[in-house]
Amino acid sequence: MSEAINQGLFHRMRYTPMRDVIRGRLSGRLDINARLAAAELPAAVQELIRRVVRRTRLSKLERIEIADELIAHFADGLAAGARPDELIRAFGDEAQAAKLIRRAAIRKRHIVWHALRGLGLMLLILLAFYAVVMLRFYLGRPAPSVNYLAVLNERVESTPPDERAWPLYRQILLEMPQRREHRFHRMLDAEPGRQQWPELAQWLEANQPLIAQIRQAAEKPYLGFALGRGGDAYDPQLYPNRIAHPVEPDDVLNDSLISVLLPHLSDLRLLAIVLSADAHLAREQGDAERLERNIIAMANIADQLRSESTILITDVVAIGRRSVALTQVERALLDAPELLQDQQLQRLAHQMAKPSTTPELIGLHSERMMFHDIVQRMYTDDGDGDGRLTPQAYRILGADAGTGGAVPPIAQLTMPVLTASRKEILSHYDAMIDQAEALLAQPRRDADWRPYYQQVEQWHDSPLSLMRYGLLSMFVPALSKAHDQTERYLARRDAVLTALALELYRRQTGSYPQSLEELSPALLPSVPVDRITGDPLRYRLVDGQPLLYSVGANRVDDGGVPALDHAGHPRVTIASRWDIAPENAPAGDWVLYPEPRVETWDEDEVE
Amino acid sequence: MRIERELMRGAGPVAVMRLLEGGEKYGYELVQMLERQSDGVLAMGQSTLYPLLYNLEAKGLVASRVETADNGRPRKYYRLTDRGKRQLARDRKQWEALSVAMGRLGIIGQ
Repeated sequence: MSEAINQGLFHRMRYTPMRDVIRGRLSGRLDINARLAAAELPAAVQELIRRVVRRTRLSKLERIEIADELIAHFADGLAAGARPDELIRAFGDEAQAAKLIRRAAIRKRHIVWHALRGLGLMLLILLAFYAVVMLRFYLGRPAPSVNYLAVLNERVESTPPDERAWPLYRQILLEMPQRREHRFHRMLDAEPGRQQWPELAQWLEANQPLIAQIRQAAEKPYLGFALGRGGDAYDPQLYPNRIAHPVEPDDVLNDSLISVLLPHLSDLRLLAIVLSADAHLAREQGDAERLERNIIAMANIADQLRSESTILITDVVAIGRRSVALTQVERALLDAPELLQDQQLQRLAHQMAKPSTTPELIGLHSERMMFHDIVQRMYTDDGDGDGRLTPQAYRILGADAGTGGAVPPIAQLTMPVLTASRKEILSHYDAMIDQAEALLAQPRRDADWRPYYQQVEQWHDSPLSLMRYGLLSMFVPALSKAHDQTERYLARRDAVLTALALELYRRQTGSYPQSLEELSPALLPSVPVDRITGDPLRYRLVDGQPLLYSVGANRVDDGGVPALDHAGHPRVTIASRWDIAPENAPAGDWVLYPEPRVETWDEDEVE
Repeated sequence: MRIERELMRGAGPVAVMRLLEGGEKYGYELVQMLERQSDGVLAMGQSTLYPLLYNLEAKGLVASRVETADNGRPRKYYRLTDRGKRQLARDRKQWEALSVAMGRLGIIGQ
């Protein structure tokens, strides 16, 4: 008895719509069999209704509604005197009926149901589309067609061995085992008057043959440093600690520019510092010829760096060497004004006159090649300059970010779908680099970098845009800083060349001129301009000595008083700014000669 | 005579709406009236009538209500909505134009 009650309860629950349950009623009204039994229709008719209703595959509520209608219909027919077999025949094709009833009943459903179904369908379509894109992404293989490393190495390959400086530098470096020691580097920083100077002077004296070899190597027209695996960066004698990872044949980074190592930059920087230190010693010793040769050798090292594989970082290191050479010319003029002969001053002026523009100091050709190389290793190639992203992008981006190949999971999900195509990415990048090259060809004061950075900011405007152009924001360089740096170097160069002309003038006339115009054209092609304003460079005599300066970022002549930082020290980067309104700039001038404080041109300044 | 399915697809809804114009009716009633008033030409079984009614209902041309009949069973009555009336008026004009055109072509007698 109790079991029967439980069965009945369960049965009613099974056939009760949720809305009734919520209202506390176990109506059991969805039970079609009960309805049919209650209708007392002939068995064949009941069976027909049952089959049709089942074949509609509608919801229980809809089925019961259909069943009620059909039951009523047949009951009406029977009541009107029709025979069951006549009614069944008149019913028509039951399969067709179920199909049409289902279609019509679905059409009748609530708009919210249709909206949800549309949404579901859309999601399904999106999922299918995403699956196809992901499949294409994972099946995609890049096919690099240009060996940019070979292009960069072309100059090295074509340089005759006797014109290459690197083999000589290599020998010199091998004879300097202490070059990796921190203590040695600290010693090389010493200048006359400093605590470690006697020790350094002693080392320099003892190593004059080695320093002569550096000068000799610097006379070679080309550097001859081969990049990439099998190149000079993997020299086992010179760089024994470098573990050359075994080459995976399919590694997308094989021979890529992004994985090129440039250990020679720090080595050449070191050799230039040795020359600079020896220039101090030569000046102290009154050895004008050695002083001149050391300065020229430093400038030559910069020329060699730019003679091949002009990657931006190489250019920046070259600017640093030229800057140190300028400092040594300045020190010679200030500390030993009579040491260098007129002809030597003229030769130094001639040497330091070039390069004279930003495009001669930095080039973006290799930057462009590097990005094109990255893209050809990330994207497929359809043969028409276009292609789609491949999983190799993760490898490259991970390697670039130093994360060992890890790209955030969200980026892994979205990059294949959202990242711009190969053609679009390259087109945007090239347009940016074209724009940058045009800006770098202008004096910094005329170059408006704002549109360049506004474009970069637009890529960050929305998450969608960032995902689409994320590659560009990663690789488009912030070149206005490099422009600042070249312009600061050129301003120093202008001032030192003017100082050389002033010294020659003094020797010829016995005093300094009243204005710089008196130097031109005999000793100076033209009066240099103030690189902030475009007006002539400021010149005045202070205690009988020449002072050359720009009015600085505030564009006000402060009488040659340098702009100071918060600590009260003169600082070039405060005085020489182009991206700040004059009214917001600190007071003080950009003193160029004599430089109030020796600042090295550090490549770390460039982003 | 039976009408081809394609023709029935166009004529059936108009015929049903026309019958409902006279007042609300239930399914079996409609089947009977179609059979009788069209001399069997527009006769349709439940397999055609009920999907047709559901479609008209989905389009808002007819509305339904359930009422318990004398025998105690629920019975669904259909009636023409205002929208259905407007649609019927439009359909009627089209059928008249079609009829005239067919007559002029000699397909049906004028």
